[in-house]
Amino acid sequence: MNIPVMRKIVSLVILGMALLFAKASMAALNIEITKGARAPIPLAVIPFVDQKAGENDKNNPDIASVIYNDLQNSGYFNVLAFDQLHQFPHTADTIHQAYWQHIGMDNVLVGQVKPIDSEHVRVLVSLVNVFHNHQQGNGVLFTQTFEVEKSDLRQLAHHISDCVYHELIGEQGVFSTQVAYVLVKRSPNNPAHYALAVSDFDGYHAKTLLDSDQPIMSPAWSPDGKKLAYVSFENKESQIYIQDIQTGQRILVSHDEGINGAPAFSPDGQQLALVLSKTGHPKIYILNLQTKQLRQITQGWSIDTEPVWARDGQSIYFTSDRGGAPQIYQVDLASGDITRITFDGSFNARASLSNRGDKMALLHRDGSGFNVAIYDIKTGQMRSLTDTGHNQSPTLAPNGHLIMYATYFAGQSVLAIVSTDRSVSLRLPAKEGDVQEPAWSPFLHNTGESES
Amino acid sequence: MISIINCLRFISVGMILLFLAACSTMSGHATGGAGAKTHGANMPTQINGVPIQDLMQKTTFHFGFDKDRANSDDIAAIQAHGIYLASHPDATVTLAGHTDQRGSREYNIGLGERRNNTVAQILMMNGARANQIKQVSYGQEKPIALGHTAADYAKNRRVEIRYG
Repeated sequence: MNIPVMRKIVSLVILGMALLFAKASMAALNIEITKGARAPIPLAVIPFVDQKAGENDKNNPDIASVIYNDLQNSGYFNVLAFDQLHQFPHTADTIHQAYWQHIGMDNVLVGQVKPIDSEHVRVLVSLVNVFHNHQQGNGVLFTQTFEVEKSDLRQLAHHISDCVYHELIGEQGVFSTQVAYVLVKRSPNNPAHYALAVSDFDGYHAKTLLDSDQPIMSPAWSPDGKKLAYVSFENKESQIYIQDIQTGQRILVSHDEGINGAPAFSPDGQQLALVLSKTGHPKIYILNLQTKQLRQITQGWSIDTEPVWARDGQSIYFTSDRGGAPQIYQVDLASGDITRITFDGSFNARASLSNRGDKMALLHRDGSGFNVAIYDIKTGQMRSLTDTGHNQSPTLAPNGHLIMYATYFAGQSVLAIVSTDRSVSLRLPAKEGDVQEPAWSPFLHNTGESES
Repeated sequence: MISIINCLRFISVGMILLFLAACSTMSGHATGGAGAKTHGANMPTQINGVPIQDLMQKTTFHFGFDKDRANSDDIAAIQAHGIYLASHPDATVTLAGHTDQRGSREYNIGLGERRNNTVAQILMMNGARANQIKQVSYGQEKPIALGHTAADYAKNRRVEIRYG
């Protein structure tokens, strides 16, 4: 079977499975996969023994299905549909390599789930390349054993996706990351209701951090992934809070007169860049979170906002209309020198910087409206990744390959993901209300599992 | 090099100030002469033949896209509120500035504040004191029209004035 036909069948099966999942779960994915430039890596994920594909019990999630969704939606893999499976090995040595070679599945992931007690299970998993070189061993790329609580099975499945991604792509996957966002519920005769929430990147395990009848904006992750800074209008003016995600405890860190906005943690987590308009115009400031010392960074009559720290903490990118219309600038924190960064297009704002500091996702206005673009800082190349024109709040994944953003679909604001090479484009399922202002977490350090 | 840049800064700031001063004497004044100083018995009761009380019925003022100049048909209403505040020194207002749903949210917060500033300036030119005026910018966070037509966007670009 050639690749394009297989992809079509796979997409149809995915749509079918997405509909199935939509009934059983809150976070099935609606997928539009556009043509990719990259040749996807073939992979078969075999349902783990003691689990059946398609069963999605909240207490015992189907590991293989979670891994399937993770890897297929990354755009880098061509994962064989479950109903195309005719062999069901569970260990590396029961894989009939000639069969998988014949159907063009280079890689096979197998596993088992065995109960330890009522709360815990042991999970064994192996990834095998069936085209291995005989002289180099048996083709097993990795074999691991995990002991986890049943309630952590979904998180374990994401971790296994990360392992497969890292093994076959050579980079860190984002399947164990989270996203913070704002959910707004509007009804005709009632005031709007706002909520700040955090969920897994695929929408599962949503947890509300703040409920309010006033707007919430600009969630920003601390570098250790444990805290969120955000803007809240709960006291009828903009104020900045920092809240511990685990405990829910929070402190009010900024409530100056005028605007308090766009908080951003420094790479070492010790400082917070923010926007204050107490001088009469919105300017960039830095607040030392220990000493509470406040330092003004930019001057003038422009709107300066949306500060983004460079990875070395020595400069800050920001949006400013000091040149007439919003563009991205960079201020050196030692000298105060300001350099304009973007020149392409009449509007560039809301920068989101990659971990390597080599590119940024932007909100960019072009012929079709406000779109998400990826901007290479060294070459100055700007590339639009969307074309619907009604987009906001791009946020780059910590591995720099995917961008999540807010877009309008069927009368609602929903979240969507596009890859920086535009080979993957998908919408996350609509929730009850408008979802806006996504903020992708940093790589998180998960606890609670043991590896051998 | 640095001192030349400072000189240029002073010159440009000076020019902007001159420009603004010129602008402020041109805008915000309907013919019929609502003056800048109004107290007690000398307070005007009408602008262009329309009673102040009637003009004050309008509490939402609209703006063009990406602009912080109020639409001309709203200027008389803003002046009326300014005149009222001047003659009622204990009265206070909150201005809420809003934008349409396009662009970036935090930049829109700044834009909403600029629109508030425009209204506040007109109020003060008509005698209101700064401490009678509180301002909050909501940017695009509180739209009154949820669609995406030009008409919806125009409805959302506004400043609302509320007493107390």
